[in-house]
Amino acid sequence: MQLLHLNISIRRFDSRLKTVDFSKMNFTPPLLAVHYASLLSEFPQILNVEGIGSYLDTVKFPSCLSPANGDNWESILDSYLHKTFIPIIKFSTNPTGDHPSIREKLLSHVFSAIRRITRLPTNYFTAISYLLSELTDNIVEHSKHEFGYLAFQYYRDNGFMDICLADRGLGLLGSYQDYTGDKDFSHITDHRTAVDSAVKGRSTKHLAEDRGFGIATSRKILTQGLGGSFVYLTGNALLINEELSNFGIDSKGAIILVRIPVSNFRKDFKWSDFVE
Amino acid sequence: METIKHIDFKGLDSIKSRDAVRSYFQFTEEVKTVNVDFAKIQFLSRSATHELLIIQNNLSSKGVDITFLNLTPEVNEMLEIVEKSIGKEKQAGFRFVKWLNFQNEKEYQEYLLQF
Repeated sequence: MQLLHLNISIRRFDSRLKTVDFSKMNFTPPLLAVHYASLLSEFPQILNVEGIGSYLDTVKFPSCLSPANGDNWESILDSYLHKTFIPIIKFSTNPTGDHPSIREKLLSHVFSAIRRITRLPTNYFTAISYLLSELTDNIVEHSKHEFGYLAFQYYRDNGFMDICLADRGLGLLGSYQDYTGDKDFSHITDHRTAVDSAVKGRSTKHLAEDRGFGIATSRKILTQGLGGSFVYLTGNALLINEELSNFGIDSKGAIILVRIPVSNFRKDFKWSDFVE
Repeated sequence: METIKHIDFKGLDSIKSRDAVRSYFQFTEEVKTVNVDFAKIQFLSRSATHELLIIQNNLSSKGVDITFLNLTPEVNEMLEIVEKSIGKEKQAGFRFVKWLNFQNEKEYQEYLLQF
């Protein structure tokens, strides 16, 4: 019941809080991990984070694994290859200096760790790399926020994995409202219209030719190609595969869950069959 | 004297983001020829490929000779797919969205329980 928990958590959150207690959370699925990690990062006045049990400590909650923390992230990540999860990853969106190449290396290592933990064949790994790259690049290009977050859990007995991404930036509606180019997005005034427009390819990129591929193609590869599920929450707009609903409460930035079956791999599966 | 720039994406085995591509094409001097060596690159995301093709097009239109070297079949396939998709009409099918409405909060909470 992650989505319900997320809904209640956002409703109950008070920005004046000084203490947050996680003692009742023995296990944190990736969706909630990226939500709480990004939330705590945004509210530094929350000085007391209590009840961090062994699982949360192992996934490096709340500080996350990040080159920005001075972590020896490569060897730390490699130490998780025998587990079914990795630490919560915090990646910089800074476009200057060494930051892009450090982020590329970090995410490459993360994707590779996911591949090794789940024993993905090459053709499936390429498809998943494609969609995760689109989703992380959306955070880098559009969120206008310092960091993005990634969490992963492999549910081996149930035959699927969850990968979640989050940022606490502008969100889709904010991106459209922030746009200063020639295209007319004045009709996009609420979160659900923003999501609908993004899926239909109305991009805010300042490019002569751009059809806004990220969400639509990621969803297509995931749902039609991999047989998975796509969950995208921004503001009060919740998209689950093709279904858009009112989440009832605004969530800042964006949170994404991709759920991917890890079984019945087909040798003839080609990611390029699902890309236009 | 002809200025030749050689780009080899040092230290990377994949390129996933537009800004990573852009960072390699920040030239401080005028160049006449750019050789982009993909020998170490195993994977290019669609976004990165699109950015690369835009840069290639911009440089070419300014009279700069640009060549891509040592492409793997996978990377080449991505370049071809993105190149073909440029200018193509939008296809509606995979961009379908259904707006749901719920009768009450209880019904919505049950909907959320699928995850």
